[in-house]
Formats: sequence, structure tokens, C-alpha cells
Amino acid sequence: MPDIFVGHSEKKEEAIEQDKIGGNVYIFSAFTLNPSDISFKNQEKDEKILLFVRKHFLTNLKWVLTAVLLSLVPIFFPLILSDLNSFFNLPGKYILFLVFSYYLLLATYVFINFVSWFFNVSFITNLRLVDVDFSGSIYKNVASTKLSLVQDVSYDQTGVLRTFFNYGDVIIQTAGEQKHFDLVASPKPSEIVHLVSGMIGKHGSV
Amino acid sequence: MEAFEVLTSNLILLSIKIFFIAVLSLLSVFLVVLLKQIISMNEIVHDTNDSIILRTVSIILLVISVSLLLTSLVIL
Repeated sequence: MPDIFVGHSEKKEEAIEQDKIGGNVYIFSAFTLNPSDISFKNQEKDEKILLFVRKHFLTNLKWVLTAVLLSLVPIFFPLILSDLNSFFNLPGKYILFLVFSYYLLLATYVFINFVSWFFNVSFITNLRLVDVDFSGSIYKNVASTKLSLVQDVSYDQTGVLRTFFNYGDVIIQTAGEQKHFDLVASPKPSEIVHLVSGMIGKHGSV
Repeated sequence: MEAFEVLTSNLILLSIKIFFIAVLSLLSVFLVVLLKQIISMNEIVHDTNDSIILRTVSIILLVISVSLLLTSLVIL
């Protein structure tokens, strides 16, 4: 006989089980517990990714709005071009070519910004923290530290947007060469702090 | 006077063509670099689902850029 009423505790257990099984990392994912379909270079065999973090998608709002506004510019082009055309006497194919080139440059701008966001990732595994920084297609930095070297973890969440959408900067201080790891604009910072602070004690004597 | 106007208009069209060729050449080179970076980043962060999407988009942009470059060389 099917269950009509299911208690809250069972639902909670199901949710915890779901977290243990592992989530999928989608193209717009910014926070995934126990991701099953992602790995990184030099990942050890017994190393399990516990958390996968990217910047909150809302941090892309600036370039998305810029791209939307820029995409509307060719609508006003005829007004500008009517003056230009009378001055330069440009053939139609030049104008068409100009519009195509403009949209190609705009698409490239969008793609670069998206790729910069996409590859700016951090992993928290059962052994270490890995922070991958990628910016503007020319800057690349991969840093990692053992969990045994983590000394302190805190988060900073200031501003209306950050409070409303629950994202903030997680600062992880280490005793390693790199003094601190900053997970900038990470979603659910309190959960990240909870997870990392729980791991510090477990790996204290590694 | 008419000859002067024809000369200046031809010069303007030629300079626009050179401008297009220069911009699209630089863009094509940049997109090749971007594609190489995406491939190298996919080796660092291996995402089974989305790697292929980014590569495909990058290749499409590169193909469009090269097509426009060739068009500017031939048609303009």
C-alpha cells in the first residue's frame, strides 16, 4: 500500500542520502555537493570531491547587461549610418559586413566572460582545497593546499544582493606558502565554512 | 572636383577593407588562443558534460571569424 503521509525526518534522510550519492555539475552550476561527473588534474585515486564551487551566477550580471545593451546598438545604426552613408557613400555590402563583424565581436566578448566565470572553480576534497583561477583567456593559476594546513576559515557577506541571494566571500587561512585562499562570491558561504571547519579537525595530524 | 571625390571615396573603401582585414585577423588569432586555453583548462578541470559545449562554441566562433576574414579579402 502506498504511503500517503511521509514524515519530515524521512524526507530529510532522503535529502542527505541524495547529497551522499552526488549531484551533477551543470553548465550553470555554482554549488554542488559530492559532484559525480567532474574531476581535476592530479586528483588522487582515493581523493573524493566533497564540494564544487564557482562564483554565484549573479556576478555575471554586469557583462550580461552590457552585452544586452550592446546588442541593441545596431537597431539605432540606420540613424547613424544614414548620415555616414551620405558622407562616405558606403555600399550596402559594407554595412552588412560591419553588422556581422560587430555581432561576432559581441559574441566573442560574451564567450570570454562566460569562459572566465566557468573555469574559475574551487574544489574541496577529503584531502585538500584546490583553487583554479582563470581570467581573460591569458591568466591561469592553480593553487592547492592540504586540509591539515588550514588554520582558520571565515566568510564575509555584505551588501543587499549578497544577503538576498545568499552568497559571499569565504576566506580560508593556511599555514602553507599561500597564506589564504579566497573563494570570492561563493554561494551558501555558511555551508562552505561549516564543511571546511568540520574537516580541519579530522585532518589535524596528517 | 569629381575625380577628387572618386579618389577619396575609393581611399575610404580601401581603408575600411584594410581595417576589417586587420580586426578579423587579430580576432581569428585570439580565438585560436582561446580555443587552446579551453582545451588546456579542460585537462585541468575535466567536466564530462560541458567540455564539449565550450569547445564547439569556440570552434564555431573561429569558423565564423575566418569566414568573415576570407569574405573581406574576396568580396569587399
